[in-house]
Amino acid sequence: MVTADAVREIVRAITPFIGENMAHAAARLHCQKLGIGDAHVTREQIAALISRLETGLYVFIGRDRASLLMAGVRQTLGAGA
Amino acid sequence: MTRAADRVLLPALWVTTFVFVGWGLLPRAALYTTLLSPARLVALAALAKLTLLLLGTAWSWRSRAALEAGNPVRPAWTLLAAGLLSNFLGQALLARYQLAGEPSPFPSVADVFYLLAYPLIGAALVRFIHAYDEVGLPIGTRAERSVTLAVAAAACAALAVPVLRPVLQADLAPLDEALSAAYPLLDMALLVPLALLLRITWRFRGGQVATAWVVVLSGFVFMCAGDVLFAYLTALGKAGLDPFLHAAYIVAYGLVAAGVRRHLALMLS
Repeated sequence: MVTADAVREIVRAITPFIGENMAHAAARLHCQKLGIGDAHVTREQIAALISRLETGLYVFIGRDRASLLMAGVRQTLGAGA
Repeated sequence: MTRAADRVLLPALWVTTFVFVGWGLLPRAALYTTLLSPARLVALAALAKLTLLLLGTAWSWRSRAALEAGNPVRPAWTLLAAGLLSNFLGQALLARYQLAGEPSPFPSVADVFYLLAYPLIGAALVRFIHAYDEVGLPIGTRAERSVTLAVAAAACAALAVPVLRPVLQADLAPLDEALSAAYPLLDMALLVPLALLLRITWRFRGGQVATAWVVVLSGFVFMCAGDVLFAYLTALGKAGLDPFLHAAYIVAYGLVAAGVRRHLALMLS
């Protein structure tokens, strides 16, 4: 999958809570940490990225809500549970 | 109940605040010499502060309860609830006098609770920052945070000189003087993590988290302003500015409660 498409989908889901600026910054940071390149991203990398950003949401909306929110993103991106 | 509180809280807060600002600006207006006499307004202020502090405490506690055990931000909510409860207990001790139309004693046991609130609230703010860092949110490098802390500390130190001068020059009893100086000094200390959290909040701009934090932090800024005003009034022995003091605390406690409620809404919606 194209990295930019996956990131856009994830950022879209978390932006209402943490704002576009933080959503992009967090996605960029975790992409770097996970070694996700600009061109393509694997399903495993997407799953790891979603998991990292989900953890970031815990402190604002709790684990259950964050998991529920990200479950939709996982499904859209075919990143599994 | 909570949706009703959302609809009522902010409009009621602004109306109450304007009543007190109006009292300060136009103390001889018919409204303030008949229906809203000074004794009634002091009692109203006491009730408003108690209600807002209780709401802030309850909503902070509910925010803690809404998060699962082990959530890194849970201790921060516990500390914030404890800090607001401490302020509530201080206010409750003074309310007895304010509702009876008697002057509030200073110093009193209430000051123990007011003073205790500072380390609790300060620790809560620091714990929030640590928790955001812990979950991997990009809230700035250690160097950036250190610069913010250094700038805020320097600004507070510079501000402390003009703020403390009238207090230290006033002819007050030693305990009165110590407490009058302690409040603004503790406020300056609280402003340091506040500045850092405000800077972090800027990174969340456009999100619901940022809105909630701006409201909470604005409340704490008004609280600091109220404390500085209180120190001045005590040092100068002036009572004419009391309405503004009441207004500052009502806005402060109201904004903190409203901001905490917004955080809670994020968790519950």
